[in-house]
Amino acid sequence: MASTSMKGFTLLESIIVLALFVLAITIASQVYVNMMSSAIIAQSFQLGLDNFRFGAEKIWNEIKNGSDFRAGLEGIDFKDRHCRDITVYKSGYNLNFRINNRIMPLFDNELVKVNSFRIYTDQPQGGSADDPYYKIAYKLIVIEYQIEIKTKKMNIPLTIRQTIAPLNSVLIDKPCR
Amino acid sequence: MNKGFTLVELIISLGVLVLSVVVLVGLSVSYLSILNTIRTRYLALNIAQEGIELAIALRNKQIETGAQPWAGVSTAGTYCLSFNTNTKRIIVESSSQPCPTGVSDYRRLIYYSDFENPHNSNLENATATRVISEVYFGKDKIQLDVVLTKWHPHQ
Repeated sequence: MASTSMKGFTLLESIIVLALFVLAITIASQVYVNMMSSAIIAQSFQLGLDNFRFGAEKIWNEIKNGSDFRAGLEGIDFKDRHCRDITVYKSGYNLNFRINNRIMPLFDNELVKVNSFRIYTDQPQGGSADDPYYKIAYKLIVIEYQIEIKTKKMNIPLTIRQTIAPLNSVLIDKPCR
Repeated sequence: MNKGFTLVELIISLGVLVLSVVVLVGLSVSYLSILNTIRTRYLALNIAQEGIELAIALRNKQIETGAQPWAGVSTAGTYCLSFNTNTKRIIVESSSQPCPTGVSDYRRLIYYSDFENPHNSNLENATATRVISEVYFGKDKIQLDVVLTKWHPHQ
């Protein structure tokens, strides 16, 4: 009659194996969570930056083709290429874009937080009402944004400077009279 | 009969574990690297565009004041352009090295040349000037260019 040996793991072996398994799972899951977190931050950052770029490029294009600028430190009034009145100004943590008294926020509050919006210009030489437009028009408008791109995990700060040389600034007459 | 794992089995199992952890860590790092690349290239492009706008504004400022040379610089070469927000003036400095831009780790150099005759160094005679704005960041660089014409509203 053949003898059958009943052999299993000892308690110590089982505990060691279980501990190693738990350790391996813990490390792997932590690394996986970190990876997922990085992916979420990267995706949210891309979304937020795209949203900011869309709004900032809108301002850039309108100013590039605009005229009759009146710049304050935290806002600017001008006329766009269709001679409509435009105002861009800071409101809370966003920028408002007012076109013919219709106001719309430029950025998605869930994605972009505007901490600071400053405008700098050059100093034109002319000043009298008889001067041609190229004597009184700004040749350079600099906009400085201090923003935070909101991701689900953290806010990423960015300082962006937009510099614009308006196209109409060398015309003799005002484009919108 | 005492039977355990062989060395080969142990090495293989450890290798599989280490490999999977390395892959996951690598993926995590690459996501952050993508994020950083998006950010740095956007900033670089913005700074290069700033160089072009400064060159256009400098030409337009010469038109406003009737100053010469018409392009803002008289000799082909490399320059640094910047805007002083206190004096409200565009600063032009001849330089062979890229200059700081106000954003750390980003440096910019502006190249001026005669568009029609690249061998002509006297830009006062040029009817069109090519301006290249080159931005250096890390080991990378990005460049934009524009052609400025000798144009005046009276012409």
